[in-house]
Amino acid sequence: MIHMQPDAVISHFPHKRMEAWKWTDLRMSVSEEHMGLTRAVTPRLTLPDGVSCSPGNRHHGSSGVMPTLAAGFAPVCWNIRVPTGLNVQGPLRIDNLSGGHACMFIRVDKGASLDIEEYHQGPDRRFSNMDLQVHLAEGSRLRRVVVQNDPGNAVRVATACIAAEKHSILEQYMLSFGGALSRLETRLYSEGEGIEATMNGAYLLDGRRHTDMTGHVEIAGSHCTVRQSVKGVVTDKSRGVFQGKFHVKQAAQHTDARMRHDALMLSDTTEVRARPELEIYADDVACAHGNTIGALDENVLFYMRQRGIPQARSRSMLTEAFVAEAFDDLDDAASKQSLLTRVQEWLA
Amino acid sequence: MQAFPKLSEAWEFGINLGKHDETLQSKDEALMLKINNLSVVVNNGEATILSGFNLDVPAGEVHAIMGPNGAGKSTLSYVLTGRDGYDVTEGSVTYRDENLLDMEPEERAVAGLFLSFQYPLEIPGVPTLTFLRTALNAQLRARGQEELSAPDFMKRARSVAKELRIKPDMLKRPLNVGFSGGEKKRMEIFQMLLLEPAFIVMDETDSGLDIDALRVVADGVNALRSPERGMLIITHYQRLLDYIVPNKVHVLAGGKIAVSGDADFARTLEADGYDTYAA
Amino acid sequence: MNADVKIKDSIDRGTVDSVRALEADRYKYGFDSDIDQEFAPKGLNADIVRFISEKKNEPEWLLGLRLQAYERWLEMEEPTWANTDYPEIDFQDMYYYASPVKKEGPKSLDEVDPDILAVYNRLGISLKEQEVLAGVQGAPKVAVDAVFDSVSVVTTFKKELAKQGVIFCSFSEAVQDHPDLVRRYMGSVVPMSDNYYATLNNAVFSDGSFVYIPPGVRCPMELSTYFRMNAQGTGQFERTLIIADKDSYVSYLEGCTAPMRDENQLHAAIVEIVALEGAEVKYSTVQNWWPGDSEGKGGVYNFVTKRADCRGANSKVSWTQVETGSAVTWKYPSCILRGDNSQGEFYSIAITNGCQQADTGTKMIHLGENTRSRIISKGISAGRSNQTYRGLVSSHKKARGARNFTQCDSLLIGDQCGAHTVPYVESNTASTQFEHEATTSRLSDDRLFYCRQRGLSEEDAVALLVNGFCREVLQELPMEFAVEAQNLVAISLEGSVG
Repeated sequence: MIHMQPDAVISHFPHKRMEAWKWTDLRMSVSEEHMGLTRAVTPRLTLPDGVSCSPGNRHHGSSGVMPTLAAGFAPVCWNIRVPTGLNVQGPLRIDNLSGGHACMFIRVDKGASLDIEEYHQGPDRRFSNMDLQVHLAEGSRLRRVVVQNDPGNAVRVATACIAAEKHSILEQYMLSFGGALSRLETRLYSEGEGIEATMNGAYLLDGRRHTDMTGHVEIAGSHCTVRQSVKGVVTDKSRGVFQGKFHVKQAAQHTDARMRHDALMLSDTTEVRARPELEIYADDVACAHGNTIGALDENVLFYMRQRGIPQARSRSMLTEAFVAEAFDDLDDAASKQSLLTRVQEWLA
Repeated sequence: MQAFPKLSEAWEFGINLGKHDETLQSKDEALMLKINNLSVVVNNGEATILSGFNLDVPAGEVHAIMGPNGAGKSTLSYVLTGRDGYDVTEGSVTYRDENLLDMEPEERAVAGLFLSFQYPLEIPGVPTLTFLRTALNAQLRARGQEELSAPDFMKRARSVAKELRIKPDMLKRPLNVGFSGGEKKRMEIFQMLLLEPAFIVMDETDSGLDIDALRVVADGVNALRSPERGMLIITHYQRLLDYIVPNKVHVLAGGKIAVSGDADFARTLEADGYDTYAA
Repeated sequence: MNADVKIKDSIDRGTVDSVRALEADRYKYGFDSDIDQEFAPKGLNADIVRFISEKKNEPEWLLGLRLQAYERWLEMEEPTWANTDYPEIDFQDMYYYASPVKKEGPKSLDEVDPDILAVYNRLGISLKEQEVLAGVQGAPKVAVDAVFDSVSVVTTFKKELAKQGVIFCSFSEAVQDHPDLVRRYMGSVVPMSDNYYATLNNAVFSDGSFVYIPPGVRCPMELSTYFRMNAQGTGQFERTLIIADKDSYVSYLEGCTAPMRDENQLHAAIVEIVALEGAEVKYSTVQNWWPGDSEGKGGVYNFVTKRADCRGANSKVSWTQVETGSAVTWKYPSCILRGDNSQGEFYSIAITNGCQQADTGTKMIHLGENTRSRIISKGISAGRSNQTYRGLVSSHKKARGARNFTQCDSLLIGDQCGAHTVPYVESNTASTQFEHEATTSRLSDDRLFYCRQRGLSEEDAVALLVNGFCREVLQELPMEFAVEAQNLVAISLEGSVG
């Protein structure tokens, strides 16, 4: 446990002169008025049958200032465990993650399977910082569905560090509506062969909201498959940030990794920042990344209006279709519908 | 005058052509579309495409507009349907006694104006059926008519698709995404048959179609010919006009109709070329 | 079967033949020439800066600028953000001025040291106006400014160009003969303290080329500068300034070679291009500085700042580069798209082999309305080399209708090398349309086998396939350079397979 005054905490925060935070200036976005800078918050966990949870120590050090601060302020790390071979029915629901630091560790043992639903939402002017560590043992599977929906003056950082052993599967779907600042960071360390990861997400921002979706994937084993697709929709004076990096190590032969970020700018005063990065040291790989930023296609809009669909409806239809692609592969119908309903509500 | 083909094929599609005739009933029986002394510029006035253009299409007639590439045939189709970037500097377009140029693109569609695009657009993420149902119901709603229920719509869509030899799974795919040129054109006709427009503009519909597909498309179009409906067929080649026989053929050159004739005139044109008129 | 057809298409008899015909010597430009040279004392201080300025008989304002830059440079730190790794450079253990000893008087070809002419002849560059570039049949005339270490030794075709009002001369001459133009435009694209190496260049730059194309003139021939680094322990700091006045056009080529040496030589140049309303500039580079030996010993540090300002409406600047040399490259030829409807292009082939490191790319800064840019980058890494594409595409609030397309492909040959892509994309207006695609893959075994089954040796097959991979960019090069570049691709990859 560490003890610090709020201003001292803020002085440790990353800022725009740091390469990884150049478009997301956390230090400038937080003030001492934000509640939760120096305290811990206890996540509310709804545990499905067979999943255990106990307070314990932090499993291993994750990199970065924010997880370290979370570990410093949170008195315990909540250790969640899925035993070997268990195919957990129903999702593990995690909420009450607002207004403080939280620290969790999830271990999915050999051959086990778990679905998580995380809700990052809370009252006004909260500062929240979550450090989630995950260990996926051989042949295990994790599906992580994250919804972040904060008030426009809240600041949130959520970092997930996922270590994956061979033949494990990660499916991740994020939906973010931003805040004064939201940074949703995922770090995946593929340590064995044959790992399959899907890391999709979407952000929809209005007002002066800001979302930063950052992904860092390190691939050390061979025959891994990674699919990342992030969709952004920004309007008013909002700002969307995407940072992605695939680091393919020399041993990671036969990696098949694809990264995409596509952003729609619906008004002239918005900003989008993207850095889709590849760092590749293995030769027998197929890696690609793509990035597009633009407005809705006027030709398509005209086509739809020619068929009698009013302009506003045409726009929302196209935007919804654009965003929905990020959730195409989510094979849980209820979960998918709930994400799409939130998107539709935002558009309406 | 060419006799109209029988409508029986259309009924087989299960399409009730008369359903919204009340609202679409022409006020002026004689003239459906009247284009008077129209001048159109593009690129913010940098180029004049149409100038002093006149055309009258009465209800029940099919007119063909032919002409060399770059004559402004597509411009005409976009001006009629209200695409941005085409500025009318002079003249008027009256459609069923209303000033067409004052209307938004979707209002024109609701009024029954349908354009079969030369290059139909791909709409990723929006399944064909969802798109069409949205369009059809938007039009019905705007006309104050009852929307079609999902099962009724599906029944109708399937039946039209069968007629046009469109595979059902194509309707589930995002509109036009990954379709071949010919498939896209067929999809335009499919939409046309479903939406039952009162006035149809076809822009180079025959391009990209092989002879079998051309027949299927022409059958569909001919089935829609009726005394209440007008059509404007824009084409570079005469080939399509062998299958959809027009009442009149016009040559567009120099920004206006240079010469007009009957269906046989198209064959003469094909043989002689446009050079005589383009100058 | 599709792949087969593609390969067939890309089999280019000429390429294969030329690859065969090339000398076995991988770096044929590596010879050392014994030329009488005059040096400034080793090291860098204000006196050296004054010495250089005095040698060049420079006006007061230019000396002032140099000294100001020197002061700024002392406060700056060498950038470390690039994906490169090299021992610290000792800026005091280097000559900042080297010049062939020459007689006084005007420079005409007859007076050029025959030994220097021989060097250029060996490089395949004729400085005689009646001759064209060696080995290229039917090539049009090319005017050449030959820069040997720190100074320009001769500029050809000057008279013919002057008839049309085109000024093509060494930078030093321009300072003397066209001071107004130099003063007005120098530093207006790359500010004095833009970055560490540019600031250093401002303090100690030696020579380079100066080009001015008057309004409405289409430059009647290709202009070209051949840079040759010869003297041992010398840094090369040349400076190029190209001004294309309203509605003019010029195509400019730059070639670079250096002898094989065990030590590292520093090259920190500045190229500034100003394109006024309706002007078009095409700038092509074949950079083949000595890359060091296969163990990474020696080679040139190529830390260059190249930038174009599309200042006028409807102006266009196109950068094409073939980067095969240098031990370490740090270079981002960029376009500031200030004028409405202006266009920027960047076509790049970068090949690294042995222990080479390259961190290169471009910046396209969209400021004006309806500005367009296009980036095609092809990177090939072999041996134990590392290569990074680093790029920025940005649009500002007023850049309505800005468009960019970027295609960035990397090819890896062998499992000891690295290929990296770091694109930054920043959009500030909704009417922007930015598109970026990148791929990384290896040379296809199937295609290699196909070529070898048809009788090509493995190295020929690699050269052929890599040339195919680079085709889009090679096409952008002026004809005189295209052949040279194709050969270079082949030579640079020798020893990379098997």
